[in-house]
This record gives sequence, structure tokens and C-alpha cells, in this order.
Amino acid sequence: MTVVAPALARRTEPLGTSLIERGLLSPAELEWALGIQRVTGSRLGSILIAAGLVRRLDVYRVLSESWNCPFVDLTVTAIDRSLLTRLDPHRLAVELWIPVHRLSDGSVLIATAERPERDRAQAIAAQLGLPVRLVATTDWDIRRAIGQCFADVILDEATLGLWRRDEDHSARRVLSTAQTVVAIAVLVIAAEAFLLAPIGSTVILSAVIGVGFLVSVLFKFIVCMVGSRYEYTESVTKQDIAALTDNELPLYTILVPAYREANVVGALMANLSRLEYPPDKLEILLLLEQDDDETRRAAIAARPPETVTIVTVPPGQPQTKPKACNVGLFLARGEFLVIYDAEDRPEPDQLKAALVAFGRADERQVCVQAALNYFNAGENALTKMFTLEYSFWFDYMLPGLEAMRLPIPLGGTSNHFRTDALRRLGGWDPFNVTEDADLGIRSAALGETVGVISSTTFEEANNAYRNFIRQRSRWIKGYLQTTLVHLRHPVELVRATGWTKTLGFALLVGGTPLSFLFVPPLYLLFAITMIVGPKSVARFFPGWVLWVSVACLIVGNAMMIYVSMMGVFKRRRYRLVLWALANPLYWLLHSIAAYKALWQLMVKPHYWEKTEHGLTSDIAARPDLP
Amino acid sequence: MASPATSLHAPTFLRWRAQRWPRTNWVRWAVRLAVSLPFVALADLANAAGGPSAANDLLHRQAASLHWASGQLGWVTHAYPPITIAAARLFPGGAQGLAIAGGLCTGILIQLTIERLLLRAVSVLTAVLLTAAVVLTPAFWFVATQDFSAFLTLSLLSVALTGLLDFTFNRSTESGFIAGIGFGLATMCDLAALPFAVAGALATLFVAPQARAVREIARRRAAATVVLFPSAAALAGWAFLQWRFSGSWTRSFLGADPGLFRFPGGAWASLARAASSVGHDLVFAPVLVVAAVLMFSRRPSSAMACLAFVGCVIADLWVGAPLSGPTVVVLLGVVALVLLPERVRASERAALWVCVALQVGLAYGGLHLALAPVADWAHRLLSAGLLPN
Repeated sequence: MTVVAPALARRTEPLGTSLIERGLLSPAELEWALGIQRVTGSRLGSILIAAGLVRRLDVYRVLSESWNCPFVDLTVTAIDRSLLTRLDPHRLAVELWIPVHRLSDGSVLIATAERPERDRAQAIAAQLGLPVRLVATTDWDIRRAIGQCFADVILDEATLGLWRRDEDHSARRVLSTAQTVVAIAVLVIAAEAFLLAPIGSTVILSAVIGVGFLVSVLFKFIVCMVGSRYEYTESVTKQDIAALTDNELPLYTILVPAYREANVVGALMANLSRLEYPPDKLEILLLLEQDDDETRRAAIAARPPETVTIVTVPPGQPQTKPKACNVGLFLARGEFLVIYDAEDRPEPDQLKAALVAFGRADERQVCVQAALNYFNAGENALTKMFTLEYSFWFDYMLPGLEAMRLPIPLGGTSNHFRTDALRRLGGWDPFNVTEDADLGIRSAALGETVGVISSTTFEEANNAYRNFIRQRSRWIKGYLQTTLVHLRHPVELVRATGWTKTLGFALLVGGTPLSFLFVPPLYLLFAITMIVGPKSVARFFPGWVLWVSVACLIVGNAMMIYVSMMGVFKRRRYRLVLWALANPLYWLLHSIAAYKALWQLMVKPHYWEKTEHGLTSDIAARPDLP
Repeated sequence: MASPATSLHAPTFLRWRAQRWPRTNWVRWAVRLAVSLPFVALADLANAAGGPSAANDLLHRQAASLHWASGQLGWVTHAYPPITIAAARLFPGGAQGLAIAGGLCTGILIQLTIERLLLRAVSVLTAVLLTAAVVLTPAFWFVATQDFSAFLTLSLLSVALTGLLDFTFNRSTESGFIAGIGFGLATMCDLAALPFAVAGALATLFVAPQARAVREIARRRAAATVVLFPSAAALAGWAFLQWRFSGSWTRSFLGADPGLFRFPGGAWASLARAASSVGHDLVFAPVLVVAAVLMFSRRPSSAMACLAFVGCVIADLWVGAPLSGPTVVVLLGVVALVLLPERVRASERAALWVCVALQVGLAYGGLHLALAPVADWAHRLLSAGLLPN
């Protein structure tokens, strides 16, 4: 087979010297970059591009000259798609080459962003089964071309990849056949029971609701108590992080899915620039929907550094964050990968902390979750309540779940993954509206583990009530979806994970929406006892039922108030401690969202309720004001 | 930027859960069981010799009289304290079952006490001797086997006070949880625990390092809230339930402790009597006096904890809470071990050993002078040949 690789010059000018000769770099800048190279071991070109000292195009043009190889600009060169049919786009993205078109001699012109050596040319020719001729281009051009040429493949994989691989782990179908049968049977039996014995049925239902609420809350309380034991256990210390050398750091991909977030995307650049990680070892993929020109314009206007690649997610249903993330996962080159929201402010050493945690864990640990908290906690009552909730959830609940080896439902952002393991798991479920929680549970179901690290990402707490209801209804709907997905084969789940994990999953992921759904009936009973007195309703609610229900409500609320108090105390937000007393009202908001979620699960199961960000009026906390 | 949630520096003092004694779970439970067995046996033998204890029998009868599923709601007024009453319903064997339950609780209390001392760098020998000064006394045997409610309350108070110290001085929120919940549960075992919870909350306000900063004031207020909330919520919740289901806010509290707020002879005379009684009981707890002196020498403000604790006992007796003399003596002895500071020097250890000997001597020698119920009980056991004469 004929392989035409450029005849590489025997002695090429070093890249730095060539750039200086062309006036693209100063000697001082080169000196600085070489210093960085000695520390990180990265390529000089990557360092210069990441630092913004030389344009990517200039670096690759100079490289192409030193490789003695013509340069091709793929933004103005048409690609013959017939050459792509048998190629794996993911492999192309990793190996950084793409066929351009056939040449008159029957060979194929290949654009490559790696040194076009003979071995490389032979390997590519073997894949294509055709003779090849290599030309140079930029890595950005190649990824962009792959994104455009394989848009359908990427979209299909991002949307239906998990469904095809494992139908039962996808929320594309809300109820399995068996679940539908069971649901109908339960409804029929319940209706019959209420017709034949309305009072007895009401009594049983009341008792079930009261006790169910208490059990769900008690479970959380116990897990929080266990989590509090690890207050003194620093999983990753500053010394551990300091011991990491830049040389050993791998390429880290950061996925930032954003939709209609033009108002915060500018701040994203500033927040990510604070990360203490060599820029040339960072790959930041800003995932934007095709119809979101506003955010795209804002992102470009923010003059993102060269480490940021704006990826346009191909249009198609469902238009959800997990689908965008799957597109990012498809293109990701990093050995590790993290997902952040556009307004997130991660602690600067978080990536390194995650690496230390991965280094200590075995290969089964696919993910570590960082804690989330809010930078605008004091803005209004809602942001205060949000902060109370997140403080106990991330500082007590997740460490407790980890210590008890129970499945951990991942939080929306700051989940760090081993990229290969994430791909093996099937990525995110685009039909599940809490794809993060689902992924955590799926990991457990497939025998993988999730850990937590004591590093925090600060987010913007929702400060508007309608926005809050929208966001919560999505979260609760997602929990319901996740419960239904993973309980499709309960016996298999128990067999794979054991009783404890299954029960923990059921109580946490299934119990949380149920407890929110149970709150209004319990509050109603409470109101009845307050207004008309227990004797007036004794016919429908015997004393002990009413007593147990009200006692469960009181005890359950007291426990939730207490863990919320302790959570903010640990966060040293002392002024918020008394706000925990408002937790019963906060739960009422959750209940509204829970009933909305239940309704949506029936009529619009995959609809993504968008949460608006950048609404904070807390000037000091505004993410766009560093 | 260091996260506020970044793990705290673990102090050497009271690393709950991080350092346990014994280290493994099953060994710990085995120790608890082994230690409790003599007390379980004593409970059984004492019951055979002298019949069921009055306190346990009363608790059992109170629990048995409740018909909670009858559809009537008035039973709520007789259901305080709910935890001990629920225990009395759950444990089989009536009063004897409660005596055995008390015996089993001793294992947990003794193991926790020794563990606490060891974690404070007290030698094994001293820890065992100090614990023995409380455990090897007739008053301890009496309360453990004859008054389940009091023993459970004082055990919970001991756990809560341990947590409180760690929470106040080392800011461990786990200990905050333990303190708050311990006080809350104790309050649901006996109303006499409430003053301890209030004093605990006040202690977090007044006894803490770094007094000045505004943020520190907010922290103290928050800490006091965290300590007091479970007790306050438990009492308020119970009061609400009984009000809604029986029409009275206080009936069950007063029903459980009929002497509450009676002040026989007037308020001042009652107070003087209470102070005198506690002063008398303090004679039986010289280890507590030494512990207070040691605390004062280490951190003068923390000696307030001792004073506050003694003040709570006086307050309880003053308002008429049913704290019996033996219960007060055991409580003082147990709390002395809770309050003992870490890193005891050789001279201090010698003083402690002397006090241990004195405390054990007084426990036997002065029994008939001050602790009549214990003396009667011991006499019954002696007559039955169950105790060595």
C-alpha cells in the first residue's frame, strides 16, 4: 500500500525558535514557556496556546513547516463524507486525524494534528484500506470537522446510546410492562378498598403516610449522624495536593453544559481560570445548543482562552443537559472528566483533590463528588433555606452514605469521573431529568463505587420561588424516574448490590419524593387537629391513627430541622441556624414541586424544566463580578 | 480558598468514633455485655430476694395502664416520660425486665466511661480505678437495678455532657449532635434532665475560647440553639400533643412528678433544703471536687461547668423533680469522670487515687447515714444472703 508521509526535515528548527524568527513570540515568553515545560512535561505548543501567547493557527502553521508538510484549513475545505462511513469518530478525535478527500492518484488526503511520521501514516492507511497522503491542520479544526461530519452519529449515540446498550437502565420508557401491570393492580385494589371500606382504608392510608414519612426522615437522620463522624477525617489534605507534581497530572476535561445562560457565561471564564491546574492539561468543552445564539455570542465576546472549545450540540429531542454532556463525553480526551455549571465557582485545588482521591481508590471507583454550597446564601429566605439544605446534604448526608457504602445519588455538578469508566457505564441518561442521581445509582447497581471529597463548589442559590418550583419539580421527577428505572428488576438489584444498598436506594431516592408527597396530607391532619379537634374526626381517624400521624409529623420535622441546623453550623454560617425552624414551610414548597413532578411524570416525563441562573441581586456574590 | 467544610483539625481530646476503645465493634459490644452480666445477675437475684423495686414496679404499672389503641385519647396524659414508658411496654418481664434492662445499660455506661478516660490520655489503671470508684458502690448497684428510669436518664446525661464538652471546646458538630440528642432523650426520660439541657446551652454561651469577635458571639448563640433544640422541641411537641388530645399542656408532666413546683415550706426553705441535700451528697463524690479543681487549674472558666452542673441538681431538687439521693450520688460520681481534664499529672493522679479510695470507703461506710433506700435494699440482700456479710 502506498503511504505518502512528508519527508520530515532531518534537522528542524525548534518550535520556539521558529516562532521567535517569525515575530510571533518573544525570547522572554519562550523562556517562561520552557520553564513551564520543565515542570509540567507538556508540549511547548500546548503551553503557548493555553497561555494565549501564540494563536493556535500560528503554532500549527509553523509546525506544518517544520514537519515539511502542507497546511490545510478545514474551515474552508470540504470533507468527502463517503470516506468517513467506516470510521469511529471517537477514535478520530483521540488520534486527531480525519480524511479530507480523494486525490487524483487514488490516495486519500488526511489532515492530522499530530506529527505526520511514517508509522502514523501506515496505521491510518491500514484503517482506511487506502493509500494516504498526510497534511497538517489544527486539533481544533479536526474536532470541529468531526463534530460536523459525525453530527448524526454523535447525536444518536448521545441520545440513544444507553437505550441501545441497556434498555432497562434508560428512562426513555417510564414504566416497564411489569411495572404498568403492578401499578394498575395497586390502583384497582386501592379503589376497591376505598369503595368497600372507606374508613378502614383511610385509616390504613393515614398510618402508612405517617409512618412512611417518619421512616424516610429517620433514614436521612441516621445517615447524617454517621456522616458527622467523618468531620475529623480529611480524605484529601493540603499536603496530599501539594505532593502532586505538575508533571504527573493527566489531561482533565471540564464539561460545561449551558443553555440560555448568556448572563453568566462570561463569569465562567473567570471562575475556571482560578483552577490550580496547568492550563495546557485542561480541556474545557462549553456545550451549547444549536438554537442558543445568545449564549454563543456572549461566550465569544468573553474572549475565552484557547483551552475552551465551544461545542455545538446537534439539535434533537430530548433537548436535555445529559444529552449535551454525552456529546461532551464523546469528544472528551481527558483521562478524567468533571462537569460544572456555568455559574459554578469550584475551589481552586478541586481537580487535584479529585486526582488524589482517585489515586487512593481502586479502579471500581468511577466518580468522586465534591460538595456544593452557595455563594449568595444570605440573599433572601429561599437562598437561606437552600443553603441549609445543601449544607446537611453534602456535608453530612453524602459522607454518611459513603461510609455506609450505600449508593450515592450524584449532585448536579462537580462530579469527577474516570472518563473510560464513565463511557463503560453508558454516560448520562438523556431521558432522565436527574441524570446525575441516576448515574450514581447505576454505578452502584453495576458494582462500581462513588466517593466524596471535602472540596466545595459554590453555586448560585435559586432566589425566585417560581424558578425554585420549576427546578425542584425537575429534581423530584428525576428521582421518581430513577426509582422506577432501578426497580424494574428488584430481585436482580438485590442480587447485584445486596439488601442494604437496595434498601438505602429505595429509602433515599424513592423515599425523598414520597416524603414530599406525604407532607400535605400530614399537614392537613395537623390542621384538622388544630381547627376542629381530634374528637370531631374520630369516626374517620381513630385517636391512635391521628396521634401517630401528628407525632410522626412533629418528630420528622424536628429531625429535619436539627440536621439542617447542624449542617449550617458546620459550614460556620451561624446566623442561618435559626432559619432551620422554617424547614416545615420549605418542605411545603417541595410538596408543591413534588405534585407538579408527579403530574409531569405522567404527561411530560422527559421535559426539562429549565432553571434560570444569574438572577442573584447579591452584588457581592454575583458570579460575573469576581 | 479553604472551604468552611474542610475537615477540622482533630484535637487530642475526645476523638469520638475516630478512636474507639476497644477498636472493633464486636469486641466493644462483647466488653459491654461482659461488664453488664454481674449487674444483670444482681438484678435477677435482688428481685428474687426482695421482690420488684418500687420505682420499676411503678413504671411498669404506669406503662401497662395505657390503652393507646382503645380509641380514647386521654392516655396521653399518663404517657410521660414516653421513652421509659415505651421501654417498659417493650421489655418483657414487668419490673424484673426493667431491672435487667438497667443491668444491661450499665455495660454501655461503663465502657463509654472507660473509653472517654482513655481517650483523654488517662492510664488504663487510673481509668479502671476511677470507674470502679463509681461502679463498685451500692448506690450504683441500687440505681442500676432498682430504678431503670433514673439510670437511663443519668446515662444519657453522661453521654450528653461528654458531647457538650467536645462541642464547646473543640467544635465537633458530631459531639453537638450527641449533646443535643442526649439531652433531648434524657428530657423524654425524666423532666429532671431539662435544667441540664438549659445549663448546657448556657455553658456554650459563656464557656468557650475566643470571646470577643462578633462572629464568635453568633457562633455561641448558634451553639446554644443546637444544644437546646432537641430538648425544647421534644418538650414542646409533647406538650402540644397532650394539649390537643387531652386539653391540658402540663397534666402529664405533673402526673409523672406530682411534687413539681409544690415548694413545701416555701420557695426559700425548699431551696435551702435542696442546697443542703446536694452539699451532703457531694461528700460522697470527692472525685468530682478534685475534677472541678483540676478543671479550674487548666481553664478557670470551664470550672463553671462543674458549678452549673451542681446548680442543676439543686434546681431539680428545689422544683421537686424526683431525683432520689442515690441517683444524685451516682450522677455526681459519673459526671466527675466526664469532667476530668486530660493529661493528668503524677501528683494529680495521686490525689485522684486518694479520692477514689475515699469515695469507695464513704460509699460503704456512710451508707446508713445518708442513703437510706440503698441501706434498706442492701440490708434485704444481706438478709437473703446475696451479698457477702
